[in-house]
Amino acid sequence: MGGCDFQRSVTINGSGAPPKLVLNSEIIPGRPWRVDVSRSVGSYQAGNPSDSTFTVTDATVSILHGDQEQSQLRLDSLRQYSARQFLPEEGEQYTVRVSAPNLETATATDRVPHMPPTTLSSDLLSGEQNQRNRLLQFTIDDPPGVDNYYHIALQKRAFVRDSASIDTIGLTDVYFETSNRSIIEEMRNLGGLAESEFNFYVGRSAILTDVLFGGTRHTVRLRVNDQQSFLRSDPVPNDGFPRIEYRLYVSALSEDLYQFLHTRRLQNRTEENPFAEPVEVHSNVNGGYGIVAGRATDTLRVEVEE
Amino acid sequence: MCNLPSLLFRPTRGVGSWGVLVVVFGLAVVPAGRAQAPSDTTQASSRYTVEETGTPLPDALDQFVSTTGIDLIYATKLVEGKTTRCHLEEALPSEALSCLLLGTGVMAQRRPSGRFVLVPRPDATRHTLSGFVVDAESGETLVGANLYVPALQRGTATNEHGFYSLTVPEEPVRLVVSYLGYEKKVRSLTLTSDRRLTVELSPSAVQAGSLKVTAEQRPLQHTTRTSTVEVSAAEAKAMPTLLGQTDLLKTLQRMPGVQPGVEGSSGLYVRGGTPDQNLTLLDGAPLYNVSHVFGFVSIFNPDIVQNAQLTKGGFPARYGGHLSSVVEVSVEDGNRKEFDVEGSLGVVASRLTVQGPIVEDKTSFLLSGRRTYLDWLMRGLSKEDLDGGYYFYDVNAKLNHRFSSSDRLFFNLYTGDDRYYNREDDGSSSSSYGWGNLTSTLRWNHVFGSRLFGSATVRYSQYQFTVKANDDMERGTYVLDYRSGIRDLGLKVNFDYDPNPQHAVRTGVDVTHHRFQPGATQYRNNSASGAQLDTTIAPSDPVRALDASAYVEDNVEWTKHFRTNIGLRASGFFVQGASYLSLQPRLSARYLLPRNWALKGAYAWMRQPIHLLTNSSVGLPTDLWVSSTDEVPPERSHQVTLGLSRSFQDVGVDVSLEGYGKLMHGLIEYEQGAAFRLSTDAEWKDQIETGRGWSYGAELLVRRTHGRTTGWLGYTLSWTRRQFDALNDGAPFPFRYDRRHKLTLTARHQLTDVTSLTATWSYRSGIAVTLPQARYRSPLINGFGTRTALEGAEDHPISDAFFTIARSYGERNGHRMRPYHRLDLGANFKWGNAEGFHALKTGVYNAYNRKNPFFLVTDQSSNREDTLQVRSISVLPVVPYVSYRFKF
Repeated sequence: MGGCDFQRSVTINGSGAPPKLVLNSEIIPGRPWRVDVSRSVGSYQAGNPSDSTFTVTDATVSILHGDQEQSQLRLDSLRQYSARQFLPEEGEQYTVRVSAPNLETATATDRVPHMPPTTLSSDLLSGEQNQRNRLLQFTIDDPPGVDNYYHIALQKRAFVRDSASIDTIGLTDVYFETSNRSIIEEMRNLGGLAESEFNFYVGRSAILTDVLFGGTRHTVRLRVNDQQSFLRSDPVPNDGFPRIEYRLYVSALSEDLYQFLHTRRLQNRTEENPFAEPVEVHSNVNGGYGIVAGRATDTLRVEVEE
Repeated sequence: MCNLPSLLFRPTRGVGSWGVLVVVFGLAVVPAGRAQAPSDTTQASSRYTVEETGTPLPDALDQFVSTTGIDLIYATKLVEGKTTRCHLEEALPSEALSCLLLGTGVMAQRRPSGRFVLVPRPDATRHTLSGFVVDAESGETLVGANLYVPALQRGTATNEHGFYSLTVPEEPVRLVVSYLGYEKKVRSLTLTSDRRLTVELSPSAVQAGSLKVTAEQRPLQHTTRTSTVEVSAAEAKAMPTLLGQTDLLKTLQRMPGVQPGVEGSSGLYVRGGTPDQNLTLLDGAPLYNVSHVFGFVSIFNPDIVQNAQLTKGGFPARYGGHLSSVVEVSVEDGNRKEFDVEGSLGVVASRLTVQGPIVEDKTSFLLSGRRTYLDWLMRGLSKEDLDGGYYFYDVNAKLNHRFSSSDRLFFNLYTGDDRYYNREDDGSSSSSYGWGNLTSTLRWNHVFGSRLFGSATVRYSQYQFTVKANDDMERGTYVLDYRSGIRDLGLKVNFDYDPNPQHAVRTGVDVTHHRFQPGATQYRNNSASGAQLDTTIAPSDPVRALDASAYVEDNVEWTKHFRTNIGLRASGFFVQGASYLSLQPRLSARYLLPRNWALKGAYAWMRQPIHLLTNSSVGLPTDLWVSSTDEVPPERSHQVTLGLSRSFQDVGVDVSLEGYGKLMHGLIEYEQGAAFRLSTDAEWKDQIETGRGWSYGAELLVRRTHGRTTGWLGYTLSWTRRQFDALNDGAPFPFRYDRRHKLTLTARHQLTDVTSLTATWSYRSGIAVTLPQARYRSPLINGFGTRTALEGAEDHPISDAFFTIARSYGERNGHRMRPYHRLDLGANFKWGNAEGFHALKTGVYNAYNRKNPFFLVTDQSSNREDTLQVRSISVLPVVPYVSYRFKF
């Protein structure tokens, strides 16, 4: 009986929007320029824009510092446009301009944020096995007067050290737990909603917005479990126990980059929900899609004994 | 004969015959030969229709005499230079004469010989008739019953307490009292002083209790009200429905100007508004979430509802606080004469109502309840140890006591809950979600005199959504308790004052204290290791607000042709140190056109200080009721309506055609991606966008209310847009329920005294949805900011990351789903006697199994071309139903 057939295909008039340039890049102080240039495809046209056939290889990619063109990027072996002779600097604003045959010229402008002073310390907590027994305290001196956004991600490196060398035996992401919900936006949590819906957050990375601590020194407490295991090689005889180093990657994000990360995550969440209003991913590319965004990074390390 | 008055008389006699006495003046030329009067027109049973546009009184009297044969004597000087205006249908000769003389300063006196003599009218002596209209069987008051004096073309309707007041001259008048679903009553009376009269109406003469709507409504053209439709519980019960569940709100959805939400839901989207913009009153008490089962069943128990009235525009000043509509649901008071038990058995739920006198004719009660039993059934049928499920229940209780003919006291209680629950057998863990309303009112009605009626109401109501969870584990226990809701305490005082026939004044004050709790979570964790947590997370303290308003409105009859309802509502909303004061003018006007058509127009300025935050298209309990704050102002709207209406009483057909335009400001929506979260420190007001909206269109309603075949045709042509600076690049976009066309045909035919057949067909344009228009390469953000390689590797710059695909969406709501249409068929059988009845309702929902789209899914095509595909998902195919009701 036809009554049991509950779905049918819908014919959409047209194939979607015409192709546009897609620019993806980050502007990081001291790092070489690298811009990925591709083209978009209409939603109902064939093709996978993430594969190499959509890479635009005949584009002209220029970097402007203020109004001055600083450099033209060349297509490299990774089929991306790059240059090493001119490196971005903190606090400066840059524009990426890309033109390609039969496609509208696209431009994107962003400023590289400053990385404020940060510190990381460690304390052992009393507790039972399998509990989060270590407290990492991350302190940031947030500059006043501007809205800043920070991203943190935590990893743990296990290594053995002898008199001649240091051998890394494993590097893994670390789940941390924090009660600082007021300034945390999750990025990667445990996957379930239950715990993160309570008053603490558990995840491997997060975005901090400075709404509540703008212009002040603020300490974020991250509780971790030293026992959290990762794949490592067999214990090395006679070299003592492996040592553990926690690494906190801290990034100061431009607002465009923050908006991109925020909306990209929301789109991932909502695109499978037919009742949710779709989310448009933030783009700062005029005439195209994608994100060209400033970021300053710092890596904080603290060594503990496992 | 150009430019001379011409008269056309076509009187007939007897009920059921077509008698028309038409008096036509002006430029019309009518052959004199047509002005023939039948020889039997002097007989008392003759009925006449008089229609005029202004004519010399002597000419009108001449024609009247020649047509009716009535012996009439008057002095020429008495009537010279006077004109008459009169519209009257099916009137007795004496009424026709009174009508011709209205406003001329002349009156007719009947002498013992049967002769009529015209004399100067002494200073108008008027008296007021007042009282209640009640059900003859149960003694319950009837809300909205019509009282009409044809000769005077004057009438009124009972107020929300069943009270009426009507002032008439000291001369014989014929009073027609009618109410939908009841036999009309005609009484001839002559008032020599003010008089109190309780009019008893009997349910329509039906054998075996089946419904036959026979009452004549007060003609549409005689009221200033616009944009108002009424549905009786009997009409709603007769409709074919999904699973046989009678639902008043779904019946209202079939009226023009009202768009339903998604299929099956009971939400009302009135003239481009949203469900929270409807002021829903249950016996005068406001309700917040008016649905069960996630919006699919309204909370109104059809067994005890008298009627529901929906006002879509032209709001009188007595209404306020919401932008788009007023839904007034009246519930029975409780039988004051005898005990009744009424109930129903359905596939989904059952209902039971008991009512009767406690002290006969003094005190009565009503108690009614219903519950679903899907959870019980599932538990019984499950082979596993399932202890969980979903149910809803609601209870209505009413107690009223009559101290005297002038004083009555009412106590009303409604409480209802939805609950989803899950429990482990050993009790180690459980979780539940619950939401529901509780509203109670204590009302005192007092008749101060024949022209002044007053009522005072104290009310308490709350709506609450709760989540509870507990887990008892070896390592410890945790308890979660989440609450959000709104709690009101209010006092309302109203007065109805009819100082003279030209004025009907209503005034009152309404003060409500609100307490909003947008969401708070208490979390307790007792760990075996000794670590304990006991904390409450709330983004903000509860918000307390005072909402005070006063109003006055006057229904003024300027001339026989021109009437207005002029009103002003003053309101103040006081919250968090902010004061929102407003003066809201209201105006409705009616001008009587030739041929009994009424031209009606209205303007209303409305303001709404309470908002509903939702990102769903159905009524979910996670929708949050929030208050205006010092940062979020109230929503405002301006609405104008203009239309034509007329009742063709001889065939029982009402016709109404209206255009409207509405502008709304201060609308709020969640910002992109924001949604309800069980626990968050983020304030809701930091997650919203504000914008505006507008809607305009036209509505046609042709409705037949009596005869063996009743029903209506409703058509809506409308446009609705929204504009938010932060959405759709700031460009206006269609509202989700911006349906260009909506057509509803509803018919019910009384086949025999026992059997009636019903059918409804609905068509509506597809709803607006947002679809992707492009796909492009975008970095995978999961590894953002970390390293994948070991020593020496840099953290992931975006351009080095793995890529995935992002979607770019086109215009918000830029795509339309397929049109929706559906045919429902039903057969109702009702048999019994005056003591009780049995009723069987059966039929089929979606008779031709139309695959109407419920939602769209956009996903990757199953072919290898990596393209997107859009699939339309339907959820409600052809569904037969059967339900049974009884009363004894």
